[in-house]
Amino acid sequence: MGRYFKNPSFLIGFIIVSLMFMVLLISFFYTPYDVTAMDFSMRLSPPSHEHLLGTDQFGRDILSRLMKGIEVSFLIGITAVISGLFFGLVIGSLSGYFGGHLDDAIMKVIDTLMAFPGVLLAMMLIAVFGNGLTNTILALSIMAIPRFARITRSGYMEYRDSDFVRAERIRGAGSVRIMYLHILPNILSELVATSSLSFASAIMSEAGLSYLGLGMQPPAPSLGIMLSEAQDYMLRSPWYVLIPTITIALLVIAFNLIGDGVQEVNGGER
Amino acid sequence: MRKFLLLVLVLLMLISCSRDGGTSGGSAVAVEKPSIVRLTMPSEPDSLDPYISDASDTEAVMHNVYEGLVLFDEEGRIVPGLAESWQISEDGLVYTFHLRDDVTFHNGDHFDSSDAAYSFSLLSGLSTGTPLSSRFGTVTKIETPDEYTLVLYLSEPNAAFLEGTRIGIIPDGYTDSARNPVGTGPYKFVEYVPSQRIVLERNDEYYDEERKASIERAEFYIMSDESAIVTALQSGQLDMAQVTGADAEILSRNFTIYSNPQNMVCLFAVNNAIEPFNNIKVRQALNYAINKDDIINGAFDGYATRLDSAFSPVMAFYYNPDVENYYSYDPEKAQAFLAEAGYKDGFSFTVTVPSNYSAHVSTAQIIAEALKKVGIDMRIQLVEWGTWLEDVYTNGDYEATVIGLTGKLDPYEILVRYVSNYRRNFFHYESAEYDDLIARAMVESDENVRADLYKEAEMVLTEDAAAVWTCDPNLVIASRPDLKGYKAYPLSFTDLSSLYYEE
Repeated sequence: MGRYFKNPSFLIGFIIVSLMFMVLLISFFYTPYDVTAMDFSMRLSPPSHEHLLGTDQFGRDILSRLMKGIEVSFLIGITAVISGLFFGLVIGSLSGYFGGHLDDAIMKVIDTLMAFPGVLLAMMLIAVFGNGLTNTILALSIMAIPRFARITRSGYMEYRDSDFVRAERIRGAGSVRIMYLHILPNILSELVATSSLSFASAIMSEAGLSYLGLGMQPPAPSLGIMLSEAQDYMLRSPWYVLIPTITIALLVIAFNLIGDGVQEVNGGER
Repeated sequence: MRKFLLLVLVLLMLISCSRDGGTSGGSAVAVEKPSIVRLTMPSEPDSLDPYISDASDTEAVMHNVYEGLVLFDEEGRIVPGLAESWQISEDGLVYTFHLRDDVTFHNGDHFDSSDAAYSFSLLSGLSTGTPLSSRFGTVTKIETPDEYTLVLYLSEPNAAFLEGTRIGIIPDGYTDSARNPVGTGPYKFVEYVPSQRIVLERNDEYYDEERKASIERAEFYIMSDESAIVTALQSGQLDMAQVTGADAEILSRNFTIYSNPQNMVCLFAVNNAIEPFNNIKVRQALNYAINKDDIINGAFDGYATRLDSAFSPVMAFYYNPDVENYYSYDPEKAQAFLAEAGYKDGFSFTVTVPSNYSAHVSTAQIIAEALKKVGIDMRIQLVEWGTWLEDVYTNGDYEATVIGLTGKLDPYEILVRYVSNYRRNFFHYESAEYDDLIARAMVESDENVRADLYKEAEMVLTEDAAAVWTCDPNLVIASRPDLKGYKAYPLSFTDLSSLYYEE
């Protein structure tokens, strides 16, 4: 693990993510104000002691909303990565290990899914299932699968005929044992890197969808909703639009840095 | 390491962006009495042909080119246009217009009754088979007893018909209106460059000295992006434009700001046919629970005029001031009313809001917060505009919604929306008393009696709490300080003829 922290990309990404994660943990127990409480006498006030990051057009505390917004971003990122990882691993490993017609059939489906730009695919799913938190998570989770499936498949294709796998096969090990005990550890670092990148793109997609009014529904605090509400006041109250913008940018950059760091450390320029 | 540098670069860019947004500006440098005015129009014109066009943005521009038999003034009153005077028969079925004899079309043709007859034969469908608009479908016969008299015969009386005759008159036999509009107005059409601009030029042969234009040329740029408009104003690329309330505050330093109600009705509508909104006590409770001032401040930045019925005060002649503050903000009273209706513990429902209107989305959030205080749980669902039109407006299949209803010049067109059997009565409001008042007003030819009927109808709506009317959002215009003469109309119309540059 130590060698990762010697990598500057990984280190910076890790620090930013840890800080955000701390904010998230705090937000479970404490936010300075209620995230939907309005106070029209305080609307659009600049950062001050009372409101550290100022207030929005309804006089809601931006810091509180930001804290809860980060929580939503992480929730969506984590679920998207877990489901993408799980289904991607199962699909990709079957496809890559066994090959043949099964591989052809699975890859046709995966290629079709990948042919759509990510957000477009999510929009399509939301149009079918309707919007809201659950459906946004569902859509982004489905969206994350193809990438993992691809990476897993190519890893399994690489290792399925290698000497250590042959040796195991001769020893009489079953397919499941070979697939998940012997091959999987070899592609683990790539999966970690992909997870990090998927996390970042899930956060971006959620913000994008919510910005368009397709993801989370107001008054729920989400970085995308905050951004779309703030843009009308871009000239009058620039800090208001900058806060969600910088947060989204930081989160996305941080996760990308972690992903890059992991790949660099493992020397994989795949 | 490269990645890290990139990160620093991105952050620097973000910071520099914020600087630009905050401090750039400076007033337009005034050139010696310019002869051009540059404005905006928010959307692409749907058609330049006045009989096909339906969009108010197009109308706002083309009203400078086309003129009808009647025109309207700043209070929404009908005034003589191409017709100097008119008579309506006792039974309301025969309209006789006496036309002006000194009018020339932009293409040089002289205006007379044959042009008016041609225009109305197209509109009523008498020459083509199908009326272009249902409001002209009742015209059964057009007569031109002499060169400057036009007589229209209707199959049924309709007090709103006269207002309809403000539609533009085109030259006899002219068929190229969509590409090369020809009218009689104070400005001539020059060119339309799709997705860029519409250019108009002063009509030097205009007949009415009082309405003759001062500025030679007008360019309407098709722009909808709010921040682009502000930047264009600040850099002197635009002389006058519609802006948002939030931007008006910044622009007020260097620009003259005009803010006037625009005859639009924004409301929180509930489906009167379903539980619990079929209970009048519940609807009244909603009216008490919502603070309209919060909506005006939070969703419209203070640039709006409070409403308490389905009618904007700009149409002063038909407006009933008694409705004002009929329900004043009082959450305790709201709770009492809810308890009386049997909803002591509140209830929950979903409000369907079109996602493209940020003011309506904001309004919904403010209402949700206000209703939470009286124990009602309102969930917000954003939908696409197309979905809203289909589900809510056309099918009336919804629980509650927030929307703005665009202004019409005739009160009938505004109030008919609440008549039981009206096709688009998406409120599902039903009141025999109301239906009767509107039906009587429709055939009443005495303007004063008619206005009283409408006022009474407005009161009925308020008493029944058919909806929670919130406000009439103001039309906010920023204009360079030396550009004077701006006039606000209760209808989309950018009147160029009154504009002039101060020496």
